[in-house]
Amino acid sequence: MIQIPFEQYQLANGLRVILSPEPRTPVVAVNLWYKVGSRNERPGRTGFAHLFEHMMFQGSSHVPDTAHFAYIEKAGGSLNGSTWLDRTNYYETVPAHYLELALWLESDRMAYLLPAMTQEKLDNQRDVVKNERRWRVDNQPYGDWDERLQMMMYPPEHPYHHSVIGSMEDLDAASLQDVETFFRTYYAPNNAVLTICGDYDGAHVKALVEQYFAEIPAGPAIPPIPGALEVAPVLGEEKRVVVEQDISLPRTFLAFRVPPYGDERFYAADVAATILGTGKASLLHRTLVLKNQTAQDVAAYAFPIVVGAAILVVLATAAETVEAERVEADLLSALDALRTVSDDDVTRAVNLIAAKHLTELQRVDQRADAFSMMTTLFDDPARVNTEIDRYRAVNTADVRAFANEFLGADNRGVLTYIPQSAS
Amino acid sequence: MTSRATPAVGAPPRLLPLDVRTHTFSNGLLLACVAEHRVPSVDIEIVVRAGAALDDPPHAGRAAMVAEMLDEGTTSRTVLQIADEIDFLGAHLAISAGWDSTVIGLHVTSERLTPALEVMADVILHPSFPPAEFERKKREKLSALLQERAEARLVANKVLMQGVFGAEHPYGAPVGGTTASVTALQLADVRAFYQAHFQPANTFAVVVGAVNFTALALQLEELFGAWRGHRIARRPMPPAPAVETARVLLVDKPGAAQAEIRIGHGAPGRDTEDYFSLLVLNTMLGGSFTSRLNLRLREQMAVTYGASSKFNLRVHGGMFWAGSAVDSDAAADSVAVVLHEMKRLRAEPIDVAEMRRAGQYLAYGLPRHFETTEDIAAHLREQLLYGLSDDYWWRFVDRILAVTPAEVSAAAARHLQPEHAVAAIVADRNVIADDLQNRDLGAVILTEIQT
Repeated sequence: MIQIPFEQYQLANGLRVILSPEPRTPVVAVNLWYKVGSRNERPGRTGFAHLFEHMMFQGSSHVPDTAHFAYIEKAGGSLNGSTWLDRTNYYETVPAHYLELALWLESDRMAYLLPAMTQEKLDNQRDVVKNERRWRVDNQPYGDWDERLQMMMYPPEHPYHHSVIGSMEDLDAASLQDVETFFRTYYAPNNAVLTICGDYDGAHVKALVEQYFAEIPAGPAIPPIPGALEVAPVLGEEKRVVVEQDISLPRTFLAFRVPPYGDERFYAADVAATILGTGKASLLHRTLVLKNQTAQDVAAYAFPIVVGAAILVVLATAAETVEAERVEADLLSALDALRTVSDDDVTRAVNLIAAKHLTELQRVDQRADAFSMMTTLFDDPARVNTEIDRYRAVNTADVRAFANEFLGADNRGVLTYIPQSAS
Repeated sequence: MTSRATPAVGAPPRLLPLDVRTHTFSNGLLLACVAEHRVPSVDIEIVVRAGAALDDPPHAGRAAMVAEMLDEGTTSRTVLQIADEIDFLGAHLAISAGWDSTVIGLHVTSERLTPALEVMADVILHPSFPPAEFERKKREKLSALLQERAEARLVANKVLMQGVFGAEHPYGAPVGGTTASVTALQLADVRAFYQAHFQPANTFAVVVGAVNFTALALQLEELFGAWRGHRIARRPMPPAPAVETARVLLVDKPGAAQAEIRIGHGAPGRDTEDYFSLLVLNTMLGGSFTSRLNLRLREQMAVTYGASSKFNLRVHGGMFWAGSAVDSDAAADSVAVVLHEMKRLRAEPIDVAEMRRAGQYLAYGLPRHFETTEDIAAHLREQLLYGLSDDYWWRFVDRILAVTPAEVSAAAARHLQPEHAVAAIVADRNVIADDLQNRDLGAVILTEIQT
């Protein structure tokens, strides 16, 4: 049983706050989730939530232009942020006596980002983001796999259809006015969750939060997520895309629409993904890599996303001289075997998930992020402690039923990368 | 209204020394243990002092293959049985070879320690090196090497190390080997390496977590006590070849979206007297977000998502490298910036404020790196592997903060060699080649991708 202590409360301006003590190491993790992500972007502005995230590090009214990173690093802290489909998070882990510094920085940019915003900063970070896209996607073999899968598995009107990093064209179109509008719409205390986890002084932490965040006014009501959010539980067909790239080995991705994260059937999907791809004894590894030796490497992953439907992805890279068709056949065969999965496979997977969960919660930064996530997505920080029970409740019948319902030919996207033909 | 002035800060907390208990078994195996009962888990690292530094270039990849093979079968368990047992226990067993060591690491809840330890001991003491698994592993490795040719960042790393160390030096080939060396690898080589180097007197165990020291020592005695072996003679490492003048190794990747650039040269070993000065120096140059390389290339010039540098110091010598993935048409500029900053650190007096920022980042950041049982085990491993003093980590903060500008300057003079550096660039030649020639960065040599 996991019983991480925490306390939850809310400021008058709507900011939800989670406090979770951990006196073991003299560090404290400060974590902020804003409930805005790529799903909130309007057409023609893909990648904007992520570009905006970059802007949040460029200074605010009381924080000089280049000082944000310097303040934290000088304090011996680490920091970063990330943008995802459902949210944007900002986090730092600092020595315990620097908690106030972290709260000052986070509150200043939540309240006073705009006065410090300039066209020059926007242009500069636009270039940084374009280089990030080149580094992560364009100059990497198979680099655009997630972008392509999202396009295949969600219709164009669905907020998950476009990629988080966005297109070069849309990034070029982003304007200072867009920055202002986005900030005023989404970067408000009523759209945020603040978690403080670590070695903080219990007697003073609330006063500090009050001091720095209470004066920030609530923002207007958050507009609904744009687009058509509902999708059919299954794709209704098989879709296929083949991409030629400068690579040596073909790689095949299969994607399936599954219930969204939070739905109780998502846990069966996640257990299925673990059965398929985690560890040497996993279904895909022992069949494709060890036995058939048709794959070089395999993986499986269920995306924990909440709007309409999530996706489960399995992938395999062909071993040398093996054709993509053979790899796909082997993948389909293994997925079929999931319909009659054994108790052992299910138990193994649940044990692996439980162990991973426990390990992750050992770090205050991951623990803080987990609290922010459960509060933002489900308004329930206690889920940090109870989430593992949902996994333990998944039984063999659940996984078999899941496989039967969601892993069929009427619900898959097949993305295959093949080496460029010699011209 | 709240004051928005930068908040004041109090005194930093001290990292308290951990209670490390040690025991040497009669066969020479050393145990170092930290009991930490606040989490119900245990991290164990069994570390053999043998790694890729022992692979001469024709045998590059041998140490890594030994590591890969340990859990591919023992005298009583198949590869699947090993994986099954570990997975069912919710444990994690990871085995890998680095330059100076092979680490067999286990992470498990304390209540399941005993059965997990048994499997761990089995793979270390009784690997069977099954021929069929070896052939499979070779094929996997060769496929992986083939795949790596398409990854510009990996190609750049490999071209750099070969450029700096040449084809005759163990550091010139990656830990995992090359297509040629892995193709030539025989099972007999792998067994021989294991037999020669996996000796109790050449091995130590680090255990951190919810354990009782006496009970643990008894358990390890039971599992490892019968392990007999011999002492290993230390082998010297050949010196890195001298690089007379700087040169640029260019690998053409038609259509590449970016240029991967690397600049590097040889470095001293981990026991260098300049260690703390080098840490501070590197943090200033390219070891943090606010380092010179990252601020210049990313925040000012906006030609990259990130730039960094590192001194990779091993038991015998090491390598310095700086690198980034940049706009193709900024490749020459970026190489020039790196060399320029290296020269500046040698030529100009060290700015005290800049140095202090770097020192504080390292010193005050230390507790963050001691959060988990895994963290603590890794630090204890480093201490034992490199023969550092018992109080090394508890004195780390003071020693970093005591580094002076003169010491950083001296370290730069001794250990940064911009005039004798090798640059490796993987990019679309049509976009950058002319630019490189006109820059006085050294001779430009077109190089084939080899992995």
